[in-house]
Amino acid sequence: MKCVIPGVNIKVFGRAIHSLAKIGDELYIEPHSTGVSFRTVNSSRSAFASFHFDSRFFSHFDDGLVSQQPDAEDETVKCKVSMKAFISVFKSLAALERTVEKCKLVLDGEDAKLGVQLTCRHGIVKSCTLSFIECETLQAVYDKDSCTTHIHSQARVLSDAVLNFQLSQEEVTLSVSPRKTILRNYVDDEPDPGKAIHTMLTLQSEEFDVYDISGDCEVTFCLKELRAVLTFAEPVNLPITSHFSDPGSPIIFCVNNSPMFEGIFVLATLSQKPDTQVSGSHALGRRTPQSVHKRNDPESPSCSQAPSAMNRTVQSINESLRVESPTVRRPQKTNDIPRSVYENRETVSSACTSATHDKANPQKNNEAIPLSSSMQHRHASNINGSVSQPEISLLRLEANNMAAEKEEEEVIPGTPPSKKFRFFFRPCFESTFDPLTLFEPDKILAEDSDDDS
Amino acid sequence: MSLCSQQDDRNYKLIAKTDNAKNILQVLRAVNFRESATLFATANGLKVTVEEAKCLQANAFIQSELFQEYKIQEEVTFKVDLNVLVECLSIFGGSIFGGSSTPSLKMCYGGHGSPLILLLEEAGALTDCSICTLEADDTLDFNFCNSGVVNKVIMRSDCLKEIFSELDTSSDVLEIVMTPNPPYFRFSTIGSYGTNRTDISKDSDLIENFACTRTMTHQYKLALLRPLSKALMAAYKVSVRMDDRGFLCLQFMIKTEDNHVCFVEFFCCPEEEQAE
Repeated sequence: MKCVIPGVNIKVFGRAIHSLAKIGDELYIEPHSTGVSFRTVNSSRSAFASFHFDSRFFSHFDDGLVSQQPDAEDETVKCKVSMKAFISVFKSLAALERTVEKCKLVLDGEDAKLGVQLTCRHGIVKSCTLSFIECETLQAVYDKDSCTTHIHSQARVLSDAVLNFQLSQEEVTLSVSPRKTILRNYVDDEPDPGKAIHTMLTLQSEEFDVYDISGDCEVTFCLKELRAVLTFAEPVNLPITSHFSDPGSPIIFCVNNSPMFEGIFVLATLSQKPDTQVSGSHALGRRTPQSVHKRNDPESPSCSQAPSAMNRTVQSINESLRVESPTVRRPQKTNDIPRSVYENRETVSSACTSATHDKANPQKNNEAIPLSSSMQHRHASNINGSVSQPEISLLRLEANNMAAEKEEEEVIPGTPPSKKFRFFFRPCFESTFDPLTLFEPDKILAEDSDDDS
Repeated sequence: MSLCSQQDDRNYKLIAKTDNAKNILQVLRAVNFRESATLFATANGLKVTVEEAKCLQANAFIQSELFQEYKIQEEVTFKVDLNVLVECLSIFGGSIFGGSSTPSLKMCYGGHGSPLILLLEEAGALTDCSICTLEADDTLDFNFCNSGVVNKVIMRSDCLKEIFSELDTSSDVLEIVMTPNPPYFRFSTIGSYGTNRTDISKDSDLIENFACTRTMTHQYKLALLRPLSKALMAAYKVSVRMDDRGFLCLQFMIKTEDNHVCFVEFFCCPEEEQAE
């Protein structure tokens, strides 16, 4: 794949990359015949961002496809690079705008290298060569059209609203009703309600360009990720469209400048109902409940096909699990995996989310879901040894290899209800958790009975 | 004046007076990457030498023309704590950009063993400093002579400033290629993420003079080149010269407040070629 970004579009591209960098650590690059997609997902898999740049965005675009057939798309090099390495080329947006005349991106499949060449003023040419790792398509499962609420607003409106929240604020709740929209900060079980700061911002429905809602709706999502959306949308002055349904199903933000480029951000939302809360596997931290809910919630498309998982995929799961373990640091390992494994996983995405773009092969889609979910939970179980809800349904269908985990899951007692759980275990999730300082009683019930004290 | 009076002036081997101490300060700051410096005073002016790890040498030249009065009885050499010297010179506020203060300076040195005396005066306030001097060590002689120079580039410092500030610090070395053929002038680093290269064409309008006769590719330790950045930031023009052994001589032209031009030069030795 080879493409050249003209000087006028460099700043937009740089901003898109900065926005992606705020979300994930790895940048997935996927060329198509119509353009290039740059995608990322965050470490807890609760936020997905994708920018698609059409071939018209570039002054020169060559997707590198040899044949013109429809399934030739599989021949293109789909890869991922370290976000830190890529963004170091586009570090200073002001300098980019000032000095760069054009930017050339070249994906060299044979050497596994991504070349970025910036042609600057004064006859200066800066080149950067980064190694990439080949990977499968990264695609989140979401459906914009099936959402019940659609709101279009200018980026300015949202960014002014977000200014009112503290920088350290993690989550916000967006409540829509026919007349107005309320943006509130989400306060997680604060042991002392008096100490929490509550911020609430009300926007009249007239402030939005399009306000298409069906009843009241309220979702809670991560503010930091919304800020990432706004850092892109506001300077380029584009409207943002938000689509969401019930708590638990993702909220989708789109920043569109068709046909040139389109940015989509899919954020997981908190599922409020306590009974659908997952038992166990909370130890991953507050972020994980969101992502796990995304998978657990029966409305969430990614889990809808879980019960129909196939038995025969056990073997391929094992093989694929082996494939998945090489990390960015060991790219050589992927070369050792036999070709057959890739073929088995044709439509399967990396890690957690499944690919559903290939509607013609539902069979393969089914294969995808248990694979990806079990990966996530295998990861979870490595951390705390307990097993979560969806894994239970999958384990019953998968054979022998998972037997050990099935036994584990029967032994572990149920977790206390979420609110109390988070209150009691809150210090464990804080970054400066020191088990020695956990209990500091005000009154001593029994004196130290040592002789030398 | 307790330390220095008209009658005693003849006892001093070196007396230098200037109306604006900030000029000297600016130049000394550009080479202040180590604690100690060797000061050479000759009839032409002062030369301040700072060295690092026996691989890097920086020389700051303060010509006698910069001083309103410059009297030298004999050539003297001594070692002094550069940090202290810079601190003393900036005693009335060392900012070059802010403030219109121009402290006047009188520098006196009585010869071997005597301290370096600084007298600074500004708006009626007088400060006198006496800094201990030490025996000067031998300074390196890189044997860099004009006849050995094969490649030379004189350019504006703007893009070099940018290049140096964006260097990939995960790389151990900086490779510099100077060649009469394309890519002409190239800086490369190989870091943990990949390789980064910046090419400057000889036709670039930032380059004032490009005279390369031979293709030379050499690597320099990046950590060693760090002291260059201070001088680079202060300079408006840079001359890069490479000799046939790969030794690099960078000369920075610094314009002082009073529009005098001072030179600071750096000598760097290249990394040994690894024997295959």
